[in-house]
Amino acid sequence: MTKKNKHIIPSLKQFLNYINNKMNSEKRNAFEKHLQKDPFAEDALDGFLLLDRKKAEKDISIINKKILGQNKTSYNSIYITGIAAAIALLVISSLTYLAINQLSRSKDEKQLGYTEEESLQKEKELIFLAEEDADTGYTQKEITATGSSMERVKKEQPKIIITDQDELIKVQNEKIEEVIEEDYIFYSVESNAGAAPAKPVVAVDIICEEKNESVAIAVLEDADKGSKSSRKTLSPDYKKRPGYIAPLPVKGMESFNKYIEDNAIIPDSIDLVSASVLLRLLISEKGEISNIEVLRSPSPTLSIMAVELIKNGPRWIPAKIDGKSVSEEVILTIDFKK
Amino acid sequence: MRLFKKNKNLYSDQELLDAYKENSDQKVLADLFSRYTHMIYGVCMKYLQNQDDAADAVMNIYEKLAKEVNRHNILNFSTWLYVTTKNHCFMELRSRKAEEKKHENWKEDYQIFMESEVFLHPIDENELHSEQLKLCIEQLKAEQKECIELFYYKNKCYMEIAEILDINEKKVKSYLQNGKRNLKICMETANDKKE
Repeated sequence: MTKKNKHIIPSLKQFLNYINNKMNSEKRNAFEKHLQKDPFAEDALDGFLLLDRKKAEKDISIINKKILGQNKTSYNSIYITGIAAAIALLVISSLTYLAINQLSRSKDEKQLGYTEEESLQKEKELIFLAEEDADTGYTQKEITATGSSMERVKKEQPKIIITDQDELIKVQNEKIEEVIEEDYIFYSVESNAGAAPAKPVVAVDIICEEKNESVAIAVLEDADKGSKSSRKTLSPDYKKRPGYIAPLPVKGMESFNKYIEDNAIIPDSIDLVSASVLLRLLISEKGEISNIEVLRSPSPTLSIMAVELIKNGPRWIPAKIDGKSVSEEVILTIDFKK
Repeated sequence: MRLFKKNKNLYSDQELLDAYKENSDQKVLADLFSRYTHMIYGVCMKYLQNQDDAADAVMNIYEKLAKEVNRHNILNFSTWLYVTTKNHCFMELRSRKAEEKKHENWKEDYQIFMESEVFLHPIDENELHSEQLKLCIEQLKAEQKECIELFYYKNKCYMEIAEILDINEKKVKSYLQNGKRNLKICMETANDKKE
């Protein structure tokens, strides 16, 4: 099918934006030109003018859930599996390579619990586990630690990699039970925003292929909870205190939004008119961005683009409690447009 | 197997439809339908004038779809779905016995529409710079000409045109519609003359 023959369907959001006058006149004109061509859309617009917006959104999402949920066997699961397996292999092998590098570098300085050969062996097992996971065809999720956490792990308890992995696998299995029907893919995104490699990178990407509802993030606990690297979220009580200031991009939210607006453009290869990617990231007390996770995204490409945008974006001012900088998580929605 | 090569969003309606006809995978149909859920909902709302009825109608249409798809030779899924949706709404209205005669007329309308090919007006087909079209625009009545020029050549939206010409938006739409109809007639006579 050539592009010309392809029918463009305005999204619900576009209809509502048009009705609520949230489009500039250029976009209005483009939308109206489409209406002139497409009596279906024109009639639909007449209908939307009559209805209650919130109820409409709810009804439509319920209907979509009903019809899409009726059919568990997915015709697209096979290629998703393919993509998942390929991405998983790539990511794992590159991260393994990094990890091995780190290991051999630190080997001389530190008393290791076992030799490099042994650690290589363990790494191979990791890869094997991951491959096996990919072969089962459901989802692929790999949680990796680079740099110091690897070293730390080895010093204290040589076997922890495996037990850690066992735990992870366990987590994965739990997840997989849910995932089989839902068609989510997990894969990792390297998210070390130029910060020192001493920070373990833990990132999991969830792609929610066709559901619009939000998806709970996969469990991603670091092996060592007491370390600097484990996730830090301030308790909600802190946020209520008068001395608390939330993290902010250096040039302020307005300029940040402008940056996103200018750069979050959906590539032509993706047939979406608008999309949003939900991200969670950690702003360290120094204002460094790390632990970028994609919580919700309509496409792997957009997930990667969103992560890149944040990585290449402005620095952040860390959260403050009574003037003292603290690390804090931020949840961001990146709105992509054509 | 060719379906597995790319993301489903990249498939055209026709490709999904062919895939469904080939292996009757309900999932494919659901994906195809869900592209239009909100539009169908909107159309049902327009005719049924009640949101709960509209939501029910969307589900009913989806359920009917599986049968209907195999019975018809669908050239353009979007148009076909639109006609099916309207048809469903009229049946629904008729079964309510309200304003039966009025909707009887509507039904005739849609049948004519169904038989005719989907016709795109030349002006909507990006043929804005055709000489003949420009000649025809010159011959339009002043208001129609102004509206068409502002809308298609200056890319102004209805709201802006209404402001510029100091008329209401409904008038803008009707000038556009009438202008386009006159243009079409003008273009067709010109083509006939050539032949």
